[in-house]
Amino acid sequence: MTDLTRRRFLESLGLGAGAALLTPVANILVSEAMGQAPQRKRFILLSTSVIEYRSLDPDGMAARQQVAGRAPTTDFALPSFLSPLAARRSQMTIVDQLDGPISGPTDHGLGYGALSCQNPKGSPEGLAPPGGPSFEQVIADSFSAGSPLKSLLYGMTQTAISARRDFEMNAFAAGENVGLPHATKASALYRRLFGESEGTGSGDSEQRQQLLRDRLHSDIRRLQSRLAGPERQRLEGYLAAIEDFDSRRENRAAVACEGVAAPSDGSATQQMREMTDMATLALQCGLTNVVGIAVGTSNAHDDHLPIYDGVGRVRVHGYQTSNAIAEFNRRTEQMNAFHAELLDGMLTALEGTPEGAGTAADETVALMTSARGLVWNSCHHSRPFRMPAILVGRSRGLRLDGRYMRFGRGERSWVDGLRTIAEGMGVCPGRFGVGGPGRIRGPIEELLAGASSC
Amino acid sequence: MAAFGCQGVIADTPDSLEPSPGNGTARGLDPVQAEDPGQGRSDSFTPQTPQPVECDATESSLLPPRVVRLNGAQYAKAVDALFQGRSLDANRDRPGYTGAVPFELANLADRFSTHAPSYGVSEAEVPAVVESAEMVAAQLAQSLSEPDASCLADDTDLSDCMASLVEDKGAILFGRPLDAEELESYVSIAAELEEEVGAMAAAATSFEAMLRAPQFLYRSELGHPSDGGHLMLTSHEIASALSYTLTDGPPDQPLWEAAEREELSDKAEIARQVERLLMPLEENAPLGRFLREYLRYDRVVTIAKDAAEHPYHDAELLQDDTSRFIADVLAQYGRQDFWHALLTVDTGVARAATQENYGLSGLGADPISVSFPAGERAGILTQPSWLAGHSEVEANDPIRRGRFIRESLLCGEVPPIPVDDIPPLEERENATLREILAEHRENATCAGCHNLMDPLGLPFEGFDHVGRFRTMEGPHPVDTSGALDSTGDQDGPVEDPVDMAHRLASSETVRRCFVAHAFEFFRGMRWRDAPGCGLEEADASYARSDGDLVELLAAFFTSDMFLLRQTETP
Repeated sequence: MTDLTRRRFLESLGLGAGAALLTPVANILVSEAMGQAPQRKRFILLSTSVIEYRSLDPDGMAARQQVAGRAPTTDFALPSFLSPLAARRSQMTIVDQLDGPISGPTDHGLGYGALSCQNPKGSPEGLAPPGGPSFEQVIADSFSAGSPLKSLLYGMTQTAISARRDFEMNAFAAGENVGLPHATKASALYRRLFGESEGTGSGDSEQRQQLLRDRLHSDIRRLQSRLAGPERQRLEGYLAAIEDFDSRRENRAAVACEGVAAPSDGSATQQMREMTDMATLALQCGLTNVVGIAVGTSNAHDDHLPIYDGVGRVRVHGYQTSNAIAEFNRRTEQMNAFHAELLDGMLTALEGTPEGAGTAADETVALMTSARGLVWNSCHHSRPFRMPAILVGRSRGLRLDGRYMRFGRGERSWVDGLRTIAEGMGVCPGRFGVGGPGRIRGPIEELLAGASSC
Repeated sequence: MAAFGCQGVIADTPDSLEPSPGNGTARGLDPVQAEDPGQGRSDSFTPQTPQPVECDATESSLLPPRVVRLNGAQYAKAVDALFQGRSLDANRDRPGYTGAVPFELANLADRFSTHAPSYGVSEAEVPAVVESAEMVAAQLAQSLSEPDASCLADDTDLSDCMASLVEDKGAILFGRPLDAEELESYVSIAAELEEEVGAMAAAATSFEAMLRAPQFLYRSELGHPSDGGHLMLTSHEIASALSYTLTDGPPDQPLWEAAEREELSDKAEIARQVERLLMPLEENAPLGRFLREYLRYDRVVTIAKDAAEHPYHDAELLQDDTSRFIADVLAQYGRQDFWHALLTVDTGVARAATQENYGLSGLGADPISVSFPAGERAGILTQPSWLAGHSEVEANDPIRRGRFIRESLLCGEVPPIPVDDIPPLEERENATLREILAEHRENATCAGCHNLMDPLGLPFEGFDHVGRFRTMEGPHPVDTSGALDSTGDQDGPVEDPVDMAHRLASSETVRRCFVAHAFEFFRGMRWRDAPGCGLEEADASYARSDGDLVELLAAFFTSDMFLLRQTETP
């Protein structure tokens, strides 16, 4: 699109009912007209707790629980639950059977372990704080360095729990012992994005903010002088977090994201759509460049998945007959097809957002996975030795080209898979997963489009 | 009838495809070696093995100076005190704070909500901290600017006015008098801003600075030099520890005055204050919260029973029944034989809306104390909330029930499920759940872990998954037999859940395990990390007092292991 065309497009904005929704687009274009907005990279992580192995494995009914490897091939039937993404098949790569030997105390779910590649810090009865940051936070450290929000986290869990609280945990983490909540109510996410505090009425007085910063700095240093080691470090973390918050809050003022109606907290399906719309807007208008979506993370033993319209309850216990197993498989495929549909919608919206010389989707990657590995039938225990990675999008550093590949049992690790995805997106993974139970051997070359710069 | 285990076929696993060890520790790959998050200490308390209680405080047996972050309830109560004063029964004519507070979202993956020492103020909490501080400060300044509310409402020089307000409000927030440097710095914030933003907004900014300060967000246990060569907590630190732990709020006026007069260096005075803050036991919120988090009967609200099958099942009311039952036990037995009573009494609380779960009838709408038929129920483990909360959606879960007893009542450990394959259970038509699960103990792959759980959970087959007493499971009579081990003196076959409850209540190991968990909650640290012999002293005190909860908690706060700290190492 030429400069002349962009200006005409700008002139056409502000008219009609869709104008408010286009405001974020206008912001981007205005910034481009005034200067050059650099191509932003975006990342979307969707982690569900159930992908049934036979619904992913092209060998389907013939496949067993864990199988031999299969060389990368484009000759495979696309899993039916990915049919909403069928048009993007040429931008998709499926990696199967990455080995994640995470033994979470949450025997029915890996909890924080799935996305952090660290054993959760064990405690009885399946509860355990995180042992390290989750993967999307590692990406966000790079992609959202100057964004008003480092990441936007949301998801859905079973009705009995989501009805009682606005946020859930046990999926995303900022670091050891620091779990990050994700919104499980659309209204909670809306408040997170658009809520305003009353304030003192003194507004953005720079002197006021400086006095507060200086005082806090001094208070922390005085207290730290009386502490040692980890205690001192905790206060350092507070200082860093508040400085980061202040910086992002300043950036927030420069970003206008408007045009989303307050959600109604209806059905799980409706709320997921509403939250996905909000997340898409946040990606478009620059509030954040990283979105994390977690479905089914509660510690409920059996009943931890949301009840989507037309799908019904997906339980992970109690299937004895082959008919019941077939019903379980059908429902999980429907559930995951809905998630694929949401991802497709996000990518489509980003493709419709001009940015730089192309669109906002040009350097956007989505990763879909199962936090419990590929489960089979009604097995309610985690299968971490078969972690799937369904990648879709566009990235200069990753080979997203319509292939399915499956590694042999124990051949390549889940942590290597994630570290490779990071490198392909231009993020050096550093200490992600180091010290955890997974074997770090190096990048998975089959996923990279070129030599890693890390 | 539900089946357990995994339906499917297991592929052969050649040696070459065995799980590979990680680059780091091999924790989690070895099914035998359980996780020990705190690594434990060589002098640690072990519920199974009583140790001598005579011990002296040494550097290695003490904690280092530390800071303990507030939780949401504590933050809210401290803010309340800002508006209402130290005596919460007074000054109700002043409006309180209306707004959100930070730290309300507990780390859902922690055993207890009081593991705050391990928390910082991370990026997840900072937005709420900053925004809450701003809102509280604004409301406080506004309320103090109302006519006759304070010197902010009249023509007093702002610096002079702020000196008294900062001194007063700062002491509430920080739990101690401010030192000269703190006082001068917070007052000067208002002075510097007055011309730009006006007196009220300037005052609000001073308050905001204090509400963001680590001296408020973290309660300190730093200590000061003492005669014994170690650091000893200051009177104000002791007062804050007692108050926030036992009432969720800052010291009230009597406790503040005791701290000001340095009376809390006397252990007898500490014990007296503990008793005063706890009583009446049945109304003490932290105590109720401890028992709810320890016994996990609140799990009942997370299990969505089929409303069509069980229209009478009201999880919220069942949880409330049990909370009231526990309050009754606290009121009657809190000063003697508390833990034994909680495990064994054949009474409860029920109402019309929940009577069917208890097998009762004719109850009114309001909850009342009830007695159960002899031999049917005993204590907390036979409460429908606990039974339903430790069950599947449509079936019992003896494994989960057994695991709870193993880990939470016996302080045992169940290894993590191995990452390798789990063999499926054989499908059996018309079999009882006990029969289906028998393979857990017959199959060598399963038995190592399931022998730790199933025998403890199977006696509760005497109830169904919504907590109703039963003698039949379909066409089969219910078999409620089980077995206890690792109790010390109560090992052996178990006849039924009532027998199980009485045997657990009589076990020294179970008592010590209860003490360990109480320590973990009230001291905010994992019991395996408890220094020195403080836990032994507490258990001895509890046993000597014939199960007096007040004596137990007083022991936590009069122990040298609480009062003293390692000499600080900069």
